[in-house]
Amino acid sequence: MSIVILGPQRPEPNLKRAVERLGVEGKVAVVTAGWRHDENETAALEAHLGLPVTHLKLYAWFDEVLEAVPEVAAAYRDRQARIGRYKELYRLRLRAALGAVEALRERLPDDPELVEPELDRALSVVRDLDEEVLTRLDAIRMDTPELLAPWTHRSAADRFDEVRAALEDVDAICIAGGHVAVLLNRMQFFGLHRLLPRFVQRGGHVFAWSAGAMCLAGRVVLFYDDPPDGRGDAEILDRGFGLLPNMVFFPHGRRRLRLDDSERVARLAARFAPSACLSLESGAWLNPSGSVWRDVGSAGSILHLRQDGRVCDFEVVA
Amino acid sequence: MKAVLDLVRRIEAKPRSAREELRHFVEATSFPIVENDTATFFFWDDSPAEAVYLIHWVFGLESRQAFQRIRGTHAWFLALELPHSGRVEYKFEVHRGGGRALVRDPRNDQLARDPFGSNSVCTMPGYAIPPWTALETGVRPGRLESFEFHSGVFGGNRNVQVYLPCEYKPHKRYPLLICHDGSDYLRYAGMQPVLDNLIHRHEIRPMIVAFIDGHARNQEYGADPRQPKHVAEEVLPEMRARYGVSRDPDEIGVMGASFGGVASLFTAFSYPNVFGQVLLQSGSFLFTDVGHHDRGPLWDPVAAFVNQFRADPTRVKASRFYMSCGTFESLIYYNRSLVPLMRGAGLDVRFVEAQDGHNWIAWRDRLREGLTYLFPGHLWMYYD
Repeated sequence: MSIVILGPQRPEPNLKRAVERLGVEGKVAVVTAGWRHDENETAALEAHLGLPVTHLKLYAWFDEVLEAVPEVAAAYRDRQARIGRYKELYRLRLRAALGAVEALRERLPDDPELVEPELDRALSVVRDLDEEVLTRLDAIRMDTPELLAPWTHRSAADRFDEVRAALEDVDAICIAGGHVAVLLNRMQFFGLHRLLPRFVQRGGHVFAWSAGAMCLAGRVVLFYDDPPDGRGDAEILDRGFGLLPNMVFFPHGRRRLRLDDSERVARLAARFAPSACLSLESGAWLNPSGSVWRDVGSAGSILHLRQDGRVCDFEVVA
Repeated sequence: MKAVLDLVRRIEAKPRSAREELRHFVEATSFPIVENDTATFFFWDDSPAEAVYLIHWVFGLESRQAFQRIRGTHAWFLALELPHSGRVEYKFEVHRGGGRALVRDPRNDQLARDPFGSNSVCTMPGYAIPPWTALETGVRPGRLESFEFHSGVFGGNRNVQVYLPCEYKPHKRYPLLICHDGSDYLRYAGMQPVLDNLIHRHEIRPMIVAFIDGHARNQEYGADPRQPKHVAEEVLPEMRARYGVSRDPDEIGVMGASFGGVASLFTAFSYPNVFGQVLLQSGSFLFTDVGHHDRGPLWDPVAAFVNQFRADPTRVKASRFYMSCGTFESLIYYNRSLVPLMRGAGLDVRFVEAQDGHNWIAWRDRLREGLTYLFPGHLWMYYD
């Protein structure tokens, strides 16, 4: 499998070095849908790569489809609004469940023997809820069958074919960061999640960073420990593509997570175990190496958040 | 306080070595001495004085508090209980030879600058300088540029300093915030790095800020009808002509502090469908329930306007208001009073009280809450 996970490409990009290391010399497809309105501003990325690029303009294509087919637009907006309303309910339940975990952790020193089983159960409730989100999202999507495989819809089929043809023509695909929900939705809308596994199987390389990396994991987790408003409860956005099912990525973890709060780190790591919670900083570079993953980026650019509350340099995940 | 009491005991035990004790004490101590919720202020320059007072701007405390002299020395101290997260700006008033001088605390390096000079600062244990007030690592700064235009409303030219986010592109449309007392917000509240940081964090959307200044500031900002006309009919069109500014009223905001808060609310009141976001810091919202106020003629139009606003708050059509005020300010009464009235009228108001005074650092420290409430970014969604 040839998937390379990179950290944020600012301030110092390392995409080119990673691409060169894997010997990619031919065409490269690029997805920048996470940049939304700035999707087309790929000049700096193309200059950095120095290779011929096929730009898959999923963000613009999506808008074109919605403009051309009002019934698809209406169905899509209704579905997304329903998902939004459901997420509000999820957050209510999540806060209550996390509140119980926090309260029990505070009481743990008083009587560990008594409190620990309660704490385990409370954490299970959170983990169950995180699992339930995914099945609830599936159920909500089932209510809009015409959007279950939008890439087969006449309005998007041509673009799907274009993506498929592009992937047959390139040696690698780069998936940039940005707005993770937009990126994930647009890639799913045009069936990229269906095409990527085959692309990798036939020897294609995938380079993904920040939000792009998050989308390749089993679950996409939104996080911000110190928001201007609210408690900063990490939450499940959706399923990822499942290409890296045993990892959850936290780009800019040093800035966005309270890594010095061992209680918080422990809670986060336990919540998503057995997946490894990895913070990706600029310079991060995670390479496949046989059946394990190896950090070949700058020192300290990939941090492993552990269930004991420690934050360690990443080693390998089988 | 304990440290000073110990010092007093040592001096009383060995009065001849008082000067030596004092020298050791000031060398080994940071001032003011903050222990739990008590701040002890200390003054000693080894010269005689008749009296020393603490001058501060904490409404509710006697504004001029007398120090106590340590017997047999020229050293003075004063202990004050202050709120846990409090931040107090102060000076010492030293009486000497029949005269008196207002000085900063000579043993305290913490200073706050404002248009009138600078004050010493005492911070209590619960206060911390917010990390987003200084440019953070890896943040790409925006830029400031300025232009001048002729104001038909006021006559003569006016200068506008314009903050553009680092990603600014002329063909795109951005939210716009018009900021009264703009030069002071930039100079004393460090608003440029605050904007840079919050945009970089995606806590606010990339936005343009027009920093404007008054010429006869107190008159223009004190509910003078020319000011809303200037902002809405001159500054806003100039900004739209020169920059990529959104056409959506919900993306147009106005802000200010103190009299600048009055000017901002008065502008939103006078042009109800133009400004969707209103940020008011320590607004000088004087009103009268009955009779007259005692603040002087400058405040007459302010009281008249705020009375008018209170009679019909819904005339302001803004989507959201963010208001803040320090609990050490006399204005807290007026601000607190407006909030339930506005909410009762169906306005969306977030109101925050700070354990601070009427000063630029207090206003700086609330910018994150205010800007993120009015111009929220996609911070939960962006990972670039």
